[in-house]
Amino acid sequence: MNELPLLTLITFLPLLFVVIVLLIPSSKGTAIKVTSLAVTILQLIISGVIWYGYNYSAAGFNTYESFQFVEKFRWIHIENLSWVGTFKVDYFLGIDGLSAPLIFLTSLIVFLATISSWSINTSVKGFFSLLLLLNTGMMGVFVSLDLFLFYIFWELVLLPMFFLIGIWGGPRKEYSAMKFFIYTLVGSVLILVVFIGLYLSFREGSGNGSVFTFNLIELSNIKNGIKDGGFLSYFNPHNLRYFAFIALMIGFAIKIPVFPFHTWLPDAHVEAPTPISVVLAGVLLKLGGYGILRIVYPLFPEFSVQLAWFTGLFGVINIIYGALAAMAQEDIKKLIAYSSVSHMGYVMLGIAAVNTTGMSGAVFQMFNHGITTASLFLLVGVIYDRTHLRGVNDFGGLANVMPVYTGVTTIAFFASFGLPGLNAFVSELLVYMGAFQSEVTRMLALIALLGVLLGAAYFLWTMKRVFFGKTNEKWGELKDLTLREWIMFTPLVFLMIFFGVYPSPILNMITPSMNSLQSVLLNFYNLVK
Amino acid sequence: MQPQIVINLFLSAVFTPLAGFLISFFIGRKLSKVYYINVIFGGIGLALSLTALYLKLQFFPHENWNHSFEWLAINSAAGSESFSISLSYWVNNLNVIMLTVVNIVAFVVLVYSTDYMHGDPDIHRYFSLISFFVFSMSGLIASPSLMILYIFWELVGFASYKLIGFWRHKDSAAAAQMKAFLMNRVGDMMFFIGILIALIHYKTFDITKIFEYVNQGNLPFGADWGLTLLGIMIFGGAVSKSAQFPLQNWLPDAMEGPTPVSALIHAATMVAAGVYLMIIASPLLNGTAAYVVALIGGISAVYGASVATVQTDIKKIFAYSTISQLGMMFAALGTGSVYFAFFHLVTHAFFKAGLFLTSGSVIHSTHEQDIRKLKSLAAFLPVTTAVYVVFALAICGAPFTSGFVSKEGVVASTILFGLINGNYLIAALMLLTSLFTAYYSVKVWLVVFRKDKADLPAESSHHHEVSDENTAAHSDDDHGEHHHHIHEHGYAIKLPLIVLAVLSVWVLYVLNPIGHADSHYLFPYLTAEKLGSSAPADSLYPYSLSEGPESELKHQAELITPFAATGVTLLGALLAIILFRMKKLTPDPEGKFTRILYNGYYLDYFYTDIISPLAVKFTQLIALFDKYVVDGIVNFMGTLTVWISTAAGIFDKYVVDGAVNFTAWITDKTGFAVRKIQTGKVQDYLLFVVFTLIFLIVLASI
Repeated sequence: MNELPLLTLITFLPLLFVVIVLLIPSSKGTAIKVTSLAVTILQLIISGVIWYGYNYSAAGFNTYESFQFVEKFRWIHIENLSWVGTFKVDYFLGIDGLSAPLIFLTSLIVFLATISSWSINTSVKGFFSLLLLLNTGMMGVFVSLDLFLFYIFWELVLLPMFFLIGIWGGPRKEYSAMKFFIYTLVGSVLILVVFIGLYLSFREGSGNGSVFTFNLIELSNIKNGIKDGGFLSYFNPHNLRYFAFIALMIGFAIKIPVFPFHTWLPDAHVEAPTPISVVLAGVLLKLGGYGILRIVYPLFPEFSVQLAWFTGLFGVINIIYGALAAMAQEDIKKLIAYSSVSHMGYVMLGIAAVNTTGMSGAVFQMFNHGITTASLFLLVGVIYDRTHLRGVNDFGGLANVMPVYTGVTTIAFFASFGLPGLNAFVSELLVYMGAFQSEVTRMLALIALLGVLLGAAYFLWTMKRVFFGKTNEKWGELKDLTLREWIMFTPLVFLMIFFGVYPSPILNMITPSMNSLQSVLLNFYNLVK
Repeated sequence: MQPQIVINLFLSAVFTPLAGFLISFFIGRKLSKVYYINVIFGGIGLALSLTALYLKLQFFPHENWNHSFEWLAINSAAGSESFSISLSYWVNNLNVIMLTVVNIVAFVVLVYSTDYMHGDPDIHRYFSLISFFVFSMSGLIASPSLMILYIFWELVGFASYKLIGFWRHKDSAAAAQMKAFLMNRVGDMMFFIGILIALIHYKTFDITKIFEYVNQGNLPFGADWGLTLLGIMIFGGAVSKSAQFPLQNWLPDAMEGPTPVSALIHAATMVAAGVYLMIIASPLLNGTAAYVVALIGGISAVYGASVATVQTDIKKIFAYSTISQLGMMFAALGTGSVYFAFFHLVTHAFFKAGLFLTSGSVIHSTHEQDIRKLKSLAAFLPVTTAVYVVFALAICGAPFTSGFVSKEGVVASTILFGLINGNYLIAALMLLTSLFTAYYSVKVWLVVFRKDKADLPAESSHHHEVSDENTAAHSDDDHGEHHHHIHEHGYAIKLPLIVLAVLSVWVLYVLNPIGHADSHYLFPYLTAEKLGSSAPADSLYPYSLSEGPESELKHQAELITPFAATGVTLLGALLAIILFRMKKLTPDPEGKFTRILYNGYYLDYFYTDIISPLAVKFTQLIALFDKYVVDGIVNFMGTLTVWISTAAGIFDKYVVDGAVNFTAWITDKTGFAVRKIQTGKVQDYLLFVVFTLIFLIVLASI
């Protein structure tokens, strides 16, 4: 099975199909939709194959041995470039316990988003081509192990998203799309600057045969830093790495998004059409957390450990502040957007714990948040489709009219604020335990526990206002879930319960990687201390 | 007899309600009457747990079994923080009895509900939720792991949330369910902190292992205050779950759910969880923590009982009464008598379920729950009245009822605590509670049930009025002849009441194979010999009525108690009778003094009218801050960029471009001037070249 370039397939299949979609005449909207759906189904199948072939016992973090399904080819190779020497970029893909769950998540989310896009009827061709392009970008970020490649995919995510919000969005779509674009572009610039700095500070190979490198694995090896002159190398006496660390953290934090860089998110969500919100919350927010764990932590181990308290602090602010802001929102979509801010705070807190438990919790939280938030946005989409309203106070008593819808919402809400037996509980539990075990973040974890109460408060209050009490006369005739919606929610509800009851299939994938990352970080930290 | 048989029976009893839930949940909508599946599974669960109980006590009275298998594991290379969460279960006398109690109450409630909920369009949802509720409680009972216990603890909360808000069209129910869940979450947070403290210090969730560490003198944070903190944090969970002061307000509101649900919540599945938790966690309590438990229990007991005295809603009376009875259990537990706390939990489960089902029967028959509008029901509802008398006597602790044994024990243990410590506060609170308890029990009897010959002729008009008020809700009622409709319902209502009444009689508990003297078999994991000599110096055990060295004082306490307890109970009853004679038994709840009691000392107002709006205001403030400050800065940066670029644009247009244009202008003018040179004729160019050449040569030669 491993002979097939599975990662290339899962990444570039959508790109290939962009061409096919573009060849279909615009008048045949359904054909375009079916083609796009076929791609996502193929990706789901490939995900299944990957999962089946995944070796749970692999260990290590950012080493050649730790990755599976590796594909590595020489891609760009220009010799004798004045002072650079050889400019070399590899086409280097691979996954480990950190990226594999996110690959599965991505293929699921794009599949659901595609089904949810069935109601899109304006410029179908453009919409689906952009969605497919976005799909390639997201997959690419998670599989690429070369910073050059990583950055290309990173930027590839940005552009389709900009158009998808800016063209198919709500009334303030231009503002939101611009805000999203500029905000994330600022982040990208910071990331790019550090990447170039890293490139010029590390050399792969030995002696005269050594070349500057974008290879993540080589960059993770501190010894590859240039002894003199490499300004982001560990051996540079002027601690430029400190600023590089902060710049990179901010770059990724914008994507998560971390307070105070979060305000693009509510705007983007409110304006984006339902499927785009689903992708945005389900996958895009994970890029930030992924970047921190994949790049920042192994490349800057000393500051990752030293500044963990600050990372945790921002996590706690996210948890509490996001929850408080969510409670005051009138627009359900905005409410869920702020709840994302709150829930991604757990990711930061788990990362800040710098131990296996906390970081595994953070990765699992990313996965779970993808599932629960995707459900939440799809659920808002359901009533928005029917009523073109989504204010918390516009409804009331929907439970009497739409019992199944209410049931699904109940599960999604309770999963979101961590009811045991549902998926997010496990990850939040691990985050709390990890953060509480680490002496650095212990007090932060205690404060963050308020999130347990606040999360329940705003979700239940929403529940009460939208679903319970007397039925609003206006909505007496609303239809319960349609077949298409059943198809969307069945896998989500199943996964929420399944991973709540039996989290091991995913957790056993995540923990070995995080365990290795922890030892890498601590070994290095002890070394320099 | 293999131990495995008992274990298997026990586990089957735990999972039977889950099966009932799944079956009725998935096919509930398809079939009518599918809810009988839940009743049948309830019966199976009851049979299984009874068999398990019998076999356990008959063949293995002194054993307890612990088993676990891994649920999720985090293996750490560092080694120090590897841990796993195990799906563990234990079987011992305590939890087999508890499981049986839960199953009895649950089965009784299920049978009762077949009639009570008959005709409700969502009846299958109701029954599947009840099964889920019972399963969650069973799971909670089955595990010694604090984490697994916490998981089921939350599921119990979730099930109660769904059931309190079962009638989704009611605004009040929607408010009540939210309140219940959120107030519980406050306690859950504390419980969770307790679990985390135990985890970081002992690297295990298993409560028996934690006991062992504590007994070895290994305390959290290495200090006695660590143990106090751990105890109080775990108690925090129990405070909210068992509706103790100051987190008690959700319980009276929880009666928005159907009455049989209230019976379940108040007796076996919800509030009992808190007491059960403290019973199994009692070895962790040191003197300070235990006193906190006792004090909170004592305050709640008086709080609940005193508020119950002026309530007008029959269900609210019993709801406040639950707060007070649970408070008594905590008082017993905190003063060292775990045995009587548990005993009272069991007896209370039956008579309180009975009281709620009685009130359900009253409401079901009369469609009225205001005691001021109910009268002389003994004439119409003989069975209901008879069982009420039994339950009321039991809650007062009258002789020959179950309450006599357990409540005397509770009072005795607090008196013993006083005798040893010289601190009689808890004992005084208990006696005050007994007085109030007798008062409201007798009051309900006098006002609602007592057949009053003088009232009967006026009966018809009275009920006429009642029915008018209920026309909206029950339009099918026949107005004029309403009193003829007040009659007992079928056996599905009557039999459960009778069963519970029988279970509230003293005789059964005399036959109890695990009597007072054997109580250490009940808690094999917390007996003195197991605790060893290095138990915390101020641990509870000196005060325990069932064991310990203070036999002299114990004897004294047991002597004082009957007089004191019976005395105050009679006093309370007498007070009720006197006030009844003076026609002042049901005073205006909005009176000067009664108003404070009626509103529960305004604690509820404090939460709903002060804390909650303040919190909402605060969140709105945060939202505004986010919109105008955080996002404001972002937008300002955007605007600033636009300004700067506009300025740059102007600069570009007039200065940079001006310079460019100026250059162009110069060039233009120059070009215009120089253009004349370019005539296009070769000879002219040659002429220029020659002249220039000469000029250059001249220049060079100078």
